[in-house]
Amino acid sequence: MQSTFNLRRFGLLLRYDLHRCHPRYGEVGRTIISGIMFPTLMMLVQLLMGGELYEGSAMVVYRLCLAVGYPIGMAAIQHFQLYPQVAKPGKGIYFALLPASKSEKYLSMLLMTLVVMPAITILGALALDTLLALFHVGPWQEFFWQHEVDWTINPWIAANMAVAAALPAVVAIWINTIRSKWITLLAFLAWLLWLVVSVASMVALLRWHTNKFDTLLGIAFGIQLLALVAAIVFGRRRMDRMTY
Amino acid sequence: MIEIRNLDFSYKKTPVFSGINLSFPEGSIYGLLGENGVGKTTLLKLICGLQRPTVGTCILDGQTCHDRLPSMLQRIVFLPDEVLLPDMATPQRYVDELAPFYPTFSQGTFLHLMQEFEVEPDRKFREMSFGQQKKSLIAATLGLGTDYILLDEPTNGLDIPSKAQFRTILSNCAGEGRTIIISTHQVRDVENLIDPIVILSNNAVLLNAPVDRITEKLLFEYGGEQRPDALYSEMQPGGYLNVLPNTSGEESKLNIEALFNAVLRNKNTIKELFKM
Repeated sequence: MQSTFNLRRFGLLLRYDLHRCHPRYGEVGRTIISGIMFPTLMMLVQLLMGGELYEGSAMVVYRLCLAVGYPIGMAAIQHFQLYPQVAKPGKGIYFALLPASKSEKYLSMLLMTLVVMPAITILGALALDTLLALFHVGPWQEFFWQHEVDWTINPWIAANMAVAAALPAVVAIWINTIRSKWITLLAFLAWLLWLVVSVASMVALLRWHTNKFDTLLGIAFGIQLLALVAAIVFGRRRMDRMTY
Repeated sequence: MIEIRNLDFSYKKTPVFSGINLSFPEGSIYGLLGENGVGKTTLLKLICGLQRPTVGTCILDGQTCHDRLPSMLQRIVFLPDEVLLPDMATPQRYVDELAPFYPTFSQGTFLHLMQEFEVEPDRKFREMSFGQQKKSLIAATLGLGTDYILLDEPTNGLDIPSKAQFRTILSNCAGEGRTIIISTHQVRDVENLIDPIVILSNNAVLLNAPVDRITEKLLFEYGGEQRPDALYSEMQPGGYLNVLPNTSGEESKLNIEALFNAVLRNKNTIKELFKM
């Protein structure tokens, strides 16, 4: 049997992880609760920027951020919900002794954290958005696809969004392999600060639709990409050395 | 076969093992005994790769244990002392999720063991008592059918009938050519089950011998007077139990608790007797 990566075994591992999150009905509940909290946050941001609560562009901004900012926040948190055992010496033995290679386990964690859980989260939030629009609740007077807006977006903004969406989740995976409460707390606070700043920045950039910040965005993209690669590499190396 | 060569291990600055050598050939039920804190659980974790030796090697059938390669992990299972409930709600769901990873898993064996232990496989873990949870995990562990089974205090939490069932079940498992290592303080629960016996002390292996060699080298004298030349004496109903060097070649019945105490109190004599 291949020791590093076996596709069939990797598929079994993904299925195993998916089944582990299935009975966690808390994930659905958390999706709904944060789906309600997120528009509240966006309305506050909109008010701070001097916009009107029911202004059409505010809803576009909110809905676009729902697709990016929301999974940014949830992906990292959901990783700790789905993989608490990685860092715990007790229950971690189930994770450690499952017959799969460390590379397969790490890749499965990355996929679940970066793709599967965010996809579930986005679908849940969009379902809520559609439901609110169906019943014309508050500012939800039309479905999101009915907005007449220019959907083209600065490519550097798009690139930053993509990396920004992935970075906290990958850092969360790395943090999960470090068994130090103080480092974890520090990293969590830094991540929280980054989350607030990045979501606010993306809201502002989307609102103004300007190309003035291309260079800045390019640099920000480069830094975030480096941080992403570093977090992935460090996380994988930590997994190799973990003991229980 | 499990081979441990010149192994050193310590937790931060606390040494646990220093240059120990051990081997566990296939097809036996090993009893791993020792005082609190000598490293019995640590040794089990080193064997299944959960811990990494500071120096030396721990090899299982030619594979380094701490690499935790899938081919090795498929052949070994570890049941810890504490009952750690898996993420799945019921024992049946738990084994359903694990089964694809273990080619040797047997649903029939698992269900038979659950029936022996009188626990419903579809009952939720959280609705079970501690003992029932433990029995469920034992059944799941043995049902995986791995070649190597490491059990840490498996009888903790089991009632008296369950302990008897456990002994019967484990005897049958060992008969299938598996290697089972049981770490325990409850020696009376596994007295007629374990052979060979390994006794650990601080940083060293005090004894590693099969029962017939132990009774060849040591005499367990029951019901007599206390002997001054005994390695260990213990007052029992009907007289003293004395543990003596077996100079006459007499056969006697092993008493594991007395053996343990004799070994701990006469390390050098035991070392000389068993040429360790």
